[in-house]
Amino acid sequence: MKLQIKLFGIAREMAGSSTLEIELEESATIKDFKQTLFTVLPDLARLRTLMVAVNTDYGEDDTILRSDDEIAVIPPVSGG
Amino acid sequence: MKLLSFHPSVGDSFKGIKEIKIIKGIKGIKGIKGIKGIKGIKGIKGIKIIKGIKGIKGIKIIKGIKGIKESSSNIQNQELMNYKISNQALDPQEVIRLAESDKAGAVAVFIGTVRNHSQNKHVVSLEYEAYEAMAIRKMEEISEEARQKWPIEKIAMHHRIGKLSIGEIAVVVAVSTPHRKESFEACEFLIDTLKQVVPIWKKEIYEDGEVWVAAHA
Repeated sequence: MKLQIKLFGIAREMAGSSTLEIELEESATIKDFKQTLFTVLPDLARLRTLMVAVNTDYGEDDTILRSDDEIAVIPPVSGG
Repeated sequence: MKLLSFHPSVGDSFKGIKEIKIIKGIKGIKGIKGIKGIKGIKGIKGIKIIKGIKGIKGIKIIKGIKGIKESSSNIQNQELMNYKISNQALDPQEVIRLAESDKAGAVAVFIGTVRNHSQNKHVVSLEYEAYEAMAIRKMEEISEEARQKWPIEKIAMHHRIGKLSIGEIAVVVAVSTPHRKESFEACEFLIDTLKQVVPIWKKEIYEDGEVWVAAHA
């Protein structure tokens, strides 16, 4: 399945784009997604943390992704 | 969760709504754009649970829609604009007004401003970026958490995005409670938790470079 990914902050700058398309097996989890993401964008692995949001909520490593999910890469937040 | 219930008649036009997508699991409506330009929606029979709507961007002119049974100013002020991400200068008075309540004896306000130094470096300006739909959702969630802990009347949180100069306001949090002690505690909890979970990012720009705050260990 093809996933459309949103990127923000330093992750967006590292990717050079605010969106990214990634191809994963059906029923892939966030853990699988991050592994693929780190091979495409190794710099992301150096961040302090990297969360993945699914449909505007933080996901867990074992969260299963679907092609119609809204998926976003969330580097360490620093609002306020 | 029931979000919108309306019954348009044949022939009504919905100019300006470009996309309405209900996302699985979020109790949310996403991607409504251009509500400003809506004309000719008739026969809306009550927007019932506005509270549950998350992630709506830019609904500003609810007033013009005919036939809504609840007061539009009520919906706009109490439920929609209390949580806001804006690329315009923030107005602390507006945030305070949104948090005021006749039942409250206290309104605590936190105003976060841009300071000119960070870890011994001279900061020239800041840039904030937000994942808006999620940021609004998280603001609502942490408000709900705060309501479990303190007897809160109202909460308002506005966060600025875009490029900010030294001294400008980046965030305003206001919360009203019956007595002052819980207002201070709730306000501190809200801003502390906002900084931990709300997807907003800050880039500090120095004379000789720039850094995304807290990105690296």
